[in-house]
Amino acid sequence: MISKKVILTGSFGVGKTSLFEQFLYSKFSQKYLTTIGVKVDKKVINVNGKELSLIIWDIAGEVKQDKVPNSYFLGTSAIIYVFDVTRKSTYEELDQDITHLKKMLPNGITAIVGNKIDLVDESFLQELKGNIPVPWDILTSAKTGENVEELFLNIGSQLLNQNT
Amino acid sequence: MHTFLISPQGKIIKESGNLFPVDILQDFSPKLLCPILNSIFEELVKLKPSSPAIFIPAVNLSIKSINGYFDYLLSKKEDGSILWIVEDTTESNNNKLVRLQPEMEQKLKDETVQFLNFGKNCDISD
Repeated sequence: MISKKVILTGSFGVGKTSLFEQFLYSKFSQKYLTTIGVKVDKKVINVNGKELSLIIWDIAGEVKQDKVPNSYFLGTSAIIYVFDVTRKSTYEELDQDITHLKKMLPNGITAIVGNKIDLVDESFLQELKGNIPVPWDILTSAKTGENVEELFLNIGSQLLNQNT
Repeated sequence: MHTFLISPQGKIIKESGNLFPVDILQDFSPKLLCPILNSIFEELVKLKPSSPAIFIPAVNLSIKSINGYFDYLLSKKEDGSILWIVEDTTESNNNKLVRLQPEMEQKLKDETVQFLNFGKNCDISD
């Protein structure tokens, strides 16, 4: 079976661990617990009849992505950059962060994810769209589970396409 | 501290240390014991013996009786085997967590309150 490493990164408190836990264990906790270092787990997904093992690294949030230890990127196939749609501080340097991440992973997949959409409405998101430095790829709610499975299936599908 | 010498096929050639109980080492191959190692093993095999060692700090590991934070130092030997040195950093990282948790929680709370005070349809460009 093909196995791929995926990193969840972004600022602190954006919901990386919540996305990780929602996707892997279908659970959500309202309580914020800061992540230290890195936690890894894997899940086998099925994309168009093909099985793929996603090894997901949930890493400690850093306000600036160049603070993430370079060794965490070793062997990475995809990066999921998560921001919090309600906190400007988590997306105002999105362009610099994405430039840095693309430098770390020139041939990999980078997905930009706006999380916590359960806290806002459609008009808020429309306004956000016009103000964000780089467009997002998908909006999620780790709390309700909205688009969480889709996010990882999308990544899986792109990884499998890259592999063929 | 625990030191492993792993073959390019992922089997333990030699190990020493007191971090991992023998039953765990018998039950798991290093790659299964540690998904992190599994996810980068191909890259480690590709390393040159002259390549600098790879340091992966604060790996949160939870297997059977093992639960904590560990620093990994990985390098390739001349004979192609992988040297994996694991150091228990649970205490210092737990202290870091105790120190950081209230600070980060407060920052998050402040930013969220700011958002809620301005209302959901506030001018986010400001």
